Formats: sequence, structure tokens, C-alpha cells
Amino acid sequence: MLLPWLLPVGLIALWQLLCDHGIISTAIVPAPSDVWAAARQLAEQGELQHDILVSLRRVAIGFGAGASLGLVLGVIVGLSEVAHDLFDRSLQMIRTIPHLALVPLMILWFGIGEEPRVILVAMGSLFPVYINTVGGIRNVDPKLIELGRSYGLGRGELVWSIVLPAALQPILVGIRYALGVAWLTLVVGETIASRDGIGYLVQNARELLRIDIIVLAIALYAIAGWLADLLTRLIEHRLLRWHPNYAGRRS
Amino acid sequence: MSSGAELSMRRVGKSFGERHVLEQIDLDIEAGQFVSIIGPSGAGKSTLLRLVAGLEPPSSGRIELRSSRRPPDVRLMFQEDRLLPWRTVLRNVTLGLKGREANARAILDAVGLAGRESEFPVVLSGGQRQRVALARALIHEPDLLLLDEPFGALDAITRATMQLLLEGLLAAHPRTVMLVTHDVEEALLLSDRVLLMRDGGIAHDLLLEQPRPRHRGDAGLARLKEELLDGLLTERPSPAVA
Repeated sequence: MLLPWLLPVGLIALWQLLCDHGIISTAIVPAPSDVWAAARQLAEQGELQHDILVSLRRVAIGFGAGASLGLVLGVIVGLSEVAHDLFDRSLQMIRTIPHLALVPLMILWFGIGEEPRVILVAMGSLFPVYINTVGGIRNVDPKLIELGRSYGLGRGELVWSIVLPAALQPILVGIRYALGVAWLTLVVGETIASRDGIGYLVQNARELLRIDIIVLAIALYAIAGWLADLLTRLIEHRLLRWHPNYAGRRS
Repeated sequence: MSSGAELSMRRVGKSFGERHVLEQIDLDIEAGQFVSIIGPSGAGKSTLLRLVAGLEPPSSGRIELRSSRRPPDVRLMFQEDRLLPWRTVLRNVTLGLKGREANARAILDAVGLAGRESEFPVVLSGGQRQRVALARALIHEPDLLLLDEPFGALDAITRATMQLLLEGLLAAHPRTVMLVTHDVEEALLLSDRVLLMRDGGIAHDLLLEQPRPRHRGDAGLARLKEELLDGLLTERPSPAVA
């Protein structure tokens, strides 16, 4: 259980040591202790908590909306031949546009409020979930569908009891990937004219040449991403506990 | 509860495009009869079962089922167990039913899986998985039970155990059974009647009157086995179709 921690903790210790002995100039890279001090200082002012909450809220709303829409669209397109013919081509074409290329457009349309950031996060989250849901549903073993039919399951029951559980694994992979994209999008989104959030912290620190705060913000993104991944993996283990690859294994 | 459904097929045919899989099948099966269907691969055995199960419509002809229950309940047990891996053993058995957990427990007990109700199929062996699939079919008390090589993928000892289990369960609750099998001995041990299929038709129809329980070493059965195998192997070499 401790082994995965050995490398990160060791590297931080080494980093601190190199700074303490002046091998690395703290003008270029702050020592971990400096970053910690900056974090405490910001936390005392209440600014740190506020910015973290603001960023979390943006990710939660954007990811929630984007992933839900991706899931719903994916289920509809996966199940219906008509919906597939109608939507899939268009969605695949939109998908190829890097969503971050839309930043200028978003600013023109929505100004510099919350909307462009949240919409960008939503767009980033939508496609990974959509693609994996469609793929998952289209790959469900037709023999299991036939079984469900011959045991008298109605259409709704068939989807709920057989199609969705069978497609769950790829759907969860999509959700996990989407969460990563959501954070990435937020980093970019928050550097445009923000007044708060972790991205604002970075922008502000750059102007003030507070390199310790910049490193702190990067560390916060890393921790947030790691926590989000941990959470989805816990959910995965709970929902896929029947799966041979998960049964009886701990993360 | 009935003691099974009567089946009658009149001039039943089935084609997939240009390919005629079944041709002009006339078949009557009495209520409670255990009928085995043997024959080379591609003879149309599984297709026949799928038509009777209503999974596919016949291209021509008529299939009728009569039973005291309307409509008669027909259950097909597939060659693969087709258990839903995300449902526990118990919830696999109650698939498509509301509640009925007490029933499911009793049936699982009857197939020798008491105490395994809350496990997931992934931890079960091949034989145990087929027991769950059998329980899932039997909980409906089908008037007609269709078995498509259900024990084909099992090892010899597990297969023999499953045959005994099936025989015991049917002795307690008689119903009409159609069993497709590659195993001539299995057909002879279990059935009242053996059909030999070839090229989409019924080539032989053999009634067995040997008393039960039958034994593998029985001389009469051994002779019949020879006869059937001869029929399978030598009579009118079939064109090479898979």
C-alpha cells in the first residue's frame, strides 16, 4: 500500500534537499516548504479555499452537464438506428474541432462571465462519454439481448437490465477520460480574464512574480485530478464488482 | 401445473436467403415426452429448436403447441449459459419475474446450488453456471423445455452429473422436453424418443422403451447406439456442408 507513494514523497524530499543546499536556486524553483508556506498564507486570508471551491464548482457544473448530455445522446444513438443515422455523422464532425479553439468565439458570445468556462468544460466532457457510450452499447452481445427477449423483458427493462450494465465498463472509461479533459479545459478557461478560481491564482501570481503560488496552483490541479480519478475508480469498483477484472481486487 | 405441452409441426420449412435449413418437417410430440434430436452439424437441429421457441418465424408451414395453460410456456436453454454477469445467481434466476425469490431459492436448492444465491456468475464453474441457467428456465415451470446442447461444453463427469440431475428433476415434475445433442449416449440415456436429423429433414424416428433408470453399460442401449452411429456415419453420405 505504501509502495506507490514512495516515488512522489521521495522526489519531494529530494527537491527540498536540493533547494536547502542551494543546488537549485529558489528564484527559479521554489522549495516545497515555500509552496507550503504560500498555501498557508493564502488559506489564512481565505483566498485559497474560495478559489478552490470556485474551480470545483465550474468543473462540477460543466462536467455534470457535458457528461450527462453525452450519456443521454450516446444511449439514444447507440439504441436507435434512426438516431444513429441522424446524429452520429454530425457529432463526429463537431468532435474533431478542438474545443479550445472555440475560446475566442465563446468570449465574443458570452463575454467573460462564468458561461464560456462552464460551456467549454461541458464540451470537453461530452464527447469522450458520448463515443464510449455508443461504442459500448453497439458492442453488447446480441445473445444476451435475445435471452432478455425470450424471457419476456420489455424494451425499457431490456435497456435497464441488460444493455446498460453490459455497456457499463466502456461508459465508465469514457467518464474517467472526460473528467481529465474537464480539468484540462478548466485550466485554459480560467486563464481568460478570471476574477477567481485556481487559474486566476496563477495569472495573478505571474504578474506579481510569485513563483511559489504558481507551483502551488499546479500542485492543486494535480491533487484535484488525482482525487477525481480516485473517486471514479471507487465508483467503478462498486459498479463493476461482478466483473472478473475487478472481483476481489483493490485499487 | 400441466404435465407438458403437445407439439405438432406441419410441413415446416425455414430458409435463410437461398439456403434451405429445414424442409417439410412433419412432427408430433406427445405431452410429457422426452425427445432427443441428434444429427451432424448443419442438419438444422438448433434451427428447429429456435423455431419451436418462437425466436424465429418459420418460412413455411405451421407450428402448434397445446397445453392446459394458455399460452403454453416455452423455455429454451442455450448451449452457452448466457447468465448476466452483473446479476447475482438469485437475480439471474428471477430474470423477468417480479419477486418470486422464495421460489428461486427452492429451485436453486433443487439444482444443488443452495447457499450460492448472492454470488456472481464469474465465480461459478461451467457446470454450476449451467445449473443456474437450468434453474432460470425451470422457475417458469415450462410446458415445453427446449435444450440446445446444454451440456456440450462440460467435461464428461460434470455432464454425467447434469444428466442425472435433469432426469431427477423431470421425474419429479414431468414436462415435454426437446434436447438437441451431439452425444448419442446422452440421447439414449434420457429420452423416450430419438430423432435423427439430416439435411434439414428427419431421417430416423426411434422410440425407446427401455425402463429407467438406464445404465451406460446396458447391452440393448449399446446395440441401439451402434445402430444410430451407423445411421449417422454411413447412410447416404451428406454433401459437405458445415
